[in-house]
Amino acid sequence: MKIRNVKVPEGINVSRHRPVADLFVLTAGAIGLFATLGLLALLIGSYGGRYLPMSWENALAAAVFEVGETDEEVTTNNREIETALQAIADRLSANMDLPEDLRITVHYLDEDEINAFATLGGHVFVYRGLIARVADENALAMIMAHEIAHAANRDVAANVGGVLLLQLVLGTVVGASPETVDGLIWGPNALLLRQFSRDAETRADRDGLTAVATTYGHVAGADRFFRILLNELGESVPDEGPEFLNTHPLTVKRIADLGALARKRGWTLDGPATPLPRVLTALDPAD
Amino acid sequence: MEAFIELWQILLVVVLLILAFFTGRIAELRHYKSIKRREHALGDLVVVVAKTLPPMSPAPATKLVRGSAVISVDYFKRFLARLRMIFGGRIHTYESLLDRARREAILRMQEQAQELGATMIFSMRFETSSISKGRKNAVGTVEVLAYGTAIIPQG
Repeated sequence: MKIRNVKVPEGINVSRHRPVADLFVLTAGAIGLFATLGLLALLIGSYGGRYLPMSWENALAAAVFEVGETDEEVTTNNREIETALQAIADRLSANMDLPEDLRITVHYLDEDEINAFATLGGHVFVYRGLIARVADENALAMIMAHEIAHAANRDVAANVGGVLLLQLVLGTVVGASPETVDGLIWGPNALLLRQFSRDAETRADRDGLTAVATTYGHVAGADRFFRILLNELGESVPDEGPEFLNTHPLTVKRIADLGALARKRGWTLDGPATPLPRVLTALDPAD
Repeated sequence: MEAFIELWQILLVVVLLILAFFTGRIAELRHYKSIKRREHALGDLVVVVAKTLPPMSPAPATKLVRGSAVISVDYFKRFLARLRMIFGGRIHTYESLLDRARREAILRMQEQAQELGATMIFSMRFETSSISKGRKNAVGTVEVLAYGTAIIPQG
């Protein structure tokens, strides 16, 4: 009798499958899973950041940056500018609903940029380029009130909380670097986040305008910053792209919204322009 | 610029996946073709796992024979396996890797036995080890060693 090895049967140890279909299904599943996880981290982080005790935010801000204190370049002139800006901020914040421990500190940045921003711990930064381009205090006050409103609404803390938790989660789960996470957040794919950001901006515009109306008794000139922005962009209606791609509402829309809010609340659109403090009028954008 | 680099990285992964899919498939089909042909040719050299020899006269000579095969999965299969590891389930793409490695190892062992003039291999065993273990991002590579006792008839 002749003995032979049994022919190895096929299809038992190696099962039939469709690898390409598998790849698509699994990739879609993985992207969906990580996106859900990331969104959840962002939402929880934002929520946590917004409701973090103000004293914690202040402590964090103090740890992250010792603003101005050690900066040797702060000249006497800059101090005078900051004092003038601080006075405006103090008048505005007196008419705003600030958290108990929040103290607004204004800093001056000697750069030609038409911008201002708020960071952790109520630190508001105003650029020379912005001050040099506004004709009166009312326009400047609107922007500062907008930034103070961001601090008061805890938008910065919410933002930082969300981003930190997202970086932690995505870094742990998929080993994504913080830079990649930043790219994901501000990249063109994060449309939902841009909606959140626009909502926060709209709220800050509304609260800012309310503060301006209460402080000055009218809202004349409050939309002037946005008009300056429009002119600076060189066209009456600049191309900012579709709104859903922007972190801020479209400038034209913001002007219209401010006007609509003023009419709705019965705030007068005419009123005397408050001149800028002398130290601020001396600023030149071209310096 | 950063967006460009990220796009480039994604594109690179896609190109590698497509390339690896086709090259891996061709390599696998060729290998299976060769395995089946050689298995048929060596069908008479019986391989069993039994430990004890049946009584034979005159007593045959015995010799250790072994065959080892090292096979690597391609980028496509590894990518799919990593995705599968998130959700769980059978990693189909690694099944053929191990199947090919085991069958190739047996064939090499049989080829050695044939050269010695053996008619049978007794007490065949496998050892399987991953030689890319612990190295992050290394393409999965396995080594399979098949060994047994070759029975060489005397006289």
